[in-house]
Amino acid sequence: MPKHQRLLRRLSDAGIAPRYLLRIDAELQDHYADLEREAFVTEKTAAEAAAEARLRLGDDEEIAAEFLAHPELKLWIYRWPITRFGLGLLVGVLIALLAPLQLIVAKRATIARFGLAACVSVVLLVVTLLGMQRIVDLDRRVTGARSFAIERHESTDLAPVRPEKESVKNKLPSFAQRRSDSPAPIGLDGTTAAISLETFVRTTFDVRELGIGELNGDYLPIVKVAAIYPALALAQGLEGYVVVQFTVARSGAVKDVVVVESTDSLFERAAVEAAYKYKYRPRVIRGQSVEVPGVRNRISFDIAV
Amino acid sequence: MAQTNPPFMSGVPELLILRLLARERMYGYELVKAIRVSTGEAIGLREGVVYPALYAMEARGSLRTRRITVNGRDRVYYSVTAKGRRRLKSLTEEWQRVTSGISTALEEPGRA
Repeated sequence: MPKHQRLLRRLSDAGIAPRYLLRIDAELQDHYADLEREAFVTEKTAAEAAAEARLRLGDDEEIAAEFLAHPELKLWIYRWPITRFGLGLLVGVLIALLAPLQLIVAKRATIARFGLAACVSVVLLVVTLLGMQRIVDLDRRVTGARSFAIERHESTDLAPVRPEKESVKNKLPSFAQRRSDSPAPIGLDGTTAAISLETFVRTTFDVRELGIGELNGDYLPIVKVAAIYPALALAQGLEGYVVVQFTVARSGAVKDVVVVESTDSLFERAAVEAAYKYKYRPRVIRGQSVEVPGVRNRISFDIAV
Repeated sequence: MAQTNPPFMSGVPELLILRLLARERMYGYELVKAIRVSTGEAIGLREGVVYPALYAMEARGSLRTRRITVNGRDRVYYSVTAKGRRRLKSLTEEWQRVTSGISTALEEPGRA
């Protein structure tokens, strides 16, 4: 049964009143179940029934568009955004005018003290908020620089820059040593045709222990699956590399993999298939994960002698 | 079946929904099915978009809702209020006026 988290988030961001959000997911799920049951009655398979139910119900975009076409479903503060500013201004004016006016009329020192305390509180609040914003900005600059230092062999530049091979042995020697215990793939003639240590280590590189901040952080590889050495290339003793470019999705999965450069087309398919299996920790900006297009990786195919 | 949600049909779903709910209260899936059957499949809706229309009519006071448990399943049933009946009457009169005018225009010869 489909969940409508994306729809609910979209409607919530647009200011649709919460009482409708609470109902819509339940009603859509019930409706979907009824459509599936109707499809089953006509002896469709489970997959066909689910597909038909989804088609008839409509996708989240269509439903969201229909919601947004009805402004009466929004909270009043979203229907008339000027009221947010107006309300704040009205409260500010009341405090600014009434407090001294009261003092003048009633000559009460307590009113003056209240007004002064309120002004001091507002000033302190503004200073604190500005300070916090500055801290967040500083943190973003620091974590961004750190992420770049760790993942230097990846580039999001769209210019055709040849990425350099980076040896990771010196960075995490104990990690590389642990991973080298895994068996290497066997070639057609029975010899061990290992992918170079560099690629092998890189394909199982785990950076979760490095502790990058959660609120903002750059994308980082979590798992990189080793590419399978093409049998035909192995039989011919061919070595080479492929540079692939892809997008790191918001979920951390890889999509839209394309080959940018390769020494031989024999390696391309294996490189693309391996790249699709990579898993990343996605880039996070202000607590929201974002897509990162144009990420490049060089996958080497070397036969160890 | 005719085109789904053709552009000149805005306002028609509200008229249909009020007309059907004035006869008996229904929940969303039932209502969409009733629209298809009563119009002879002439009007089709992407079924999920009926809910925003229902919520909007409820917000305007034309409909009321009630949660009823049937066969162990909770359903939200929609029914027409007094204000909704007045709205239905006004929409029906408007529709009849428009269709009458169009029919007259189509009957006139030589004016393509």
